[in-house]
Amino acid sequence: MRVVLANHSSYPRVASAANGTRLRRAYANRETGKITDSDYDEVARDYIAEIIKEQEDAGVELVTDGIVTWYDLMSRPASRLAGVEINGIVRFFDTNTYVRQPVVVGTVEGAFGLADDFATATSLAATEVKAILTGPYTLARHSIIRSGGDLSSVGLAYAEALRKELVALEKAGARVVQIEEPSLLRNPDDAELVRSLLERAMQSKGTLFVSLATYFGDATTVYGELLKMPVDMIALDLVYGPRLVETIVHEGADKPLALGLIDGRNTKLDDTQAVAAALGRIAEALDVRGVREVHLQPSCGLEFLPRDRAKRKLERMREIKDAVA
Amino acid sequence: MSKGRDKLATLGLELPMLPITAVGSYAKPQALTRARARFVKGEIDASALRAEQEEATAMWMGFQNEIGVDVPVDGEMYRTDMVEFFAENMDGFEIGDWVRSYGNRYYRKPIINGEVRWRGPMTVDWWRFAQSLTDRPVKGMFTGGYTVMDWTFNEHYPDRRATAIALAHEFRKEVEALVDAGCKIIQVDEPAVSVRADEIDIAIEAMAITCDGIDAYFITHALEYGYPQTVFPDVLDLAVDNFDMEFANSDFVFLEGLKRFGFDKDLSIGLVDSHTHEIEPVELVEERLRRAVDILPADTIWPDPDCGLKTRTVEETMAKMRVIAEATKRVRTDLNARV
Repeated sequence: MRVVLANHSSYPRVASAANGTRLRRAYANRETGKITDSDYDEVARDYIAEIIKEQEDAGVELVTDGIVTWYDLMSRPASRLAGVEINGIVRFFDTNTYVRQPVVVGTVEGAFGLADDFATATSLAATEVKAILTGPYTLARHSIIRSGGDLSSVGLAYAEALRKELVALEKAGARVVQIEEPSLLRNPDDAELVRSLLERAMQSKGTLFVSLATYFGDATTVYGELLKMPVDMIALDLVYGPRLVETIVHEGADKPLALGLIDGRNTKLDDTQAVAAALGRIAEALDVRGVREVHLQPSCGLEFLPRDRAKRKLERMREIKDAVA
Repeated sequence: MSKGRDKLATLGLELPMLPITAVGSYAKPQALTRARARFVKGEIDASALRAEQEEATAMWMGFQNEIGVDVPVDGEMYRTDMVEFFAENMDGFEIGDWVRSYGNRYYRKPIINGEVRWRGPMTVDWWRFAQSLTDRPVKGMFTGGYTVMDWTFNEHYPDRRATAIALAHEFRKEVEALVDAGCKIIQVDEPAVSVRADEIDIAIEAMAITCDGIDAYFITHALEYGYPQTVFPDVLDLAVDNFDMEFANSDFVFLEGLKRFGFDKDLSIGLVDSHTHEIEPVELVEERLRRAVDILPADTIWPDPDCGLKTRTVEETMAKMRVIAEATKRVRTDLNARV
């Protein structure tokens, strides 16, 4: 069994180290017109290079750009679409963070416009970069719909935007994409809707290896439904849903899993032996089913942690992999 | 008369119809912001910082007296953040590094690394100071055990329930200290309760531990920017008299829902968005308040902003509060004319 160490998605935007707040300062200076967009982009590029190197030094084999230039998971992709405006804030699940809500006011058209971000990140990395995209269902769930449509129709419009984005990402050289669908765990009865939306988006998947990520909830009850999703990998939050380990061991899987065994929400370092034991049991169960690869990653994006702790979490993943070996 | 008005009467408090209040924080004047930065660098001492904090508090108390805020707040000029302040003043915490809240806002998220313990009153001196500057009842305020648990990292307690309950016991001592000082209206900030319906029992238990049996009128700022429909009606079991809720940001969509769920408490209703620079027209705020009065009993409604106003400038904060005050006076005049 090949165990790939992967970052989940987001990464902290500030650090206590010297110059650790330069991205934050650049953001504020751009907002007040003290620097230009291009000045900001230069700082962002420098910061992304630094955090990619930090991930690589920690032993991560599949890194991300930390989505550090996104305002949030909803408004960044939605703001590039025609027919969508951005509204006030809403709390992002049970985190003490907030996202700006998309407001669907007309026909949704276009793509998320993230391919350039990916191209920048991959030019700065020595290892593979995973592109992060917000899923159509989660986008629709966080949207205020004023266009006369409903959850399904707006979700379908976002799925079409996602389809176009996948085309653009493949063209930009992406190989691995993670689609974030945390809202599914809040609304497990909508699994069929999520599957139909993803089917639309995957029509243009091409050669991309697509992972579907759920988190901030216990996926045990929808585990079977998740395995039916038209994607190549399922990423699971095994901290929020620890009983899911037993479900996976007993039910197996017919596709690779990204195992979120590292707590992305708490600073306490995960117990190496306990996580290694869970990882080993799951790997053994999947191996029987012919699955030859799993990813070990945090349970969710690491932006909820201070940066020094986020880095330690990634280092701990390597220690766990070594313990399993 | 509403249950809340009865409770206030037993405490010797008679408030006007539609008592105006604020959620808690106001913008910090630039002089105070500069003083805080100098204090951090060691350029001024604690007494010099305290003088700036008192001056800012006095400024906000004067402003509230001027525009007619019926239940004023101290404006939290002494606080860094609604969790960090308490973590700094209790045992069992270390102050962590920066994490992001939203947009370009960051805060130092505390880490619980030992048994939490109340060292002594944290807000009482400031409440006394503010109360000395007005004849109106100043609201006592602190962050509740469930939210402090949810907004800190935990490296000590075995689980979330144990953490919240331990904190709730300690915060009861703060309530008792406020009441001993003469405070009669106390707000327990619990904005985290509206995001995890599966843990509403923990929040209810924690609030009861902190407040039950204590002779005061309790408000909870508990339902903002979340998913209130997911915690109703269970959340009505929180041991408080008044729910402070955000409405302007979410376009008042949940107002009808309150009635449907048998809402039977007083409601501090967010009439202006705390997170936008725009100042809402008085007419819009007046219309929002009239909608509320049409749906819920007028003697249960307390006009206020959606949330604390610390993220606004001093000018924006004043403008938003003035709009609430003016709109309330107009509606109040009409209500009084009907009686």
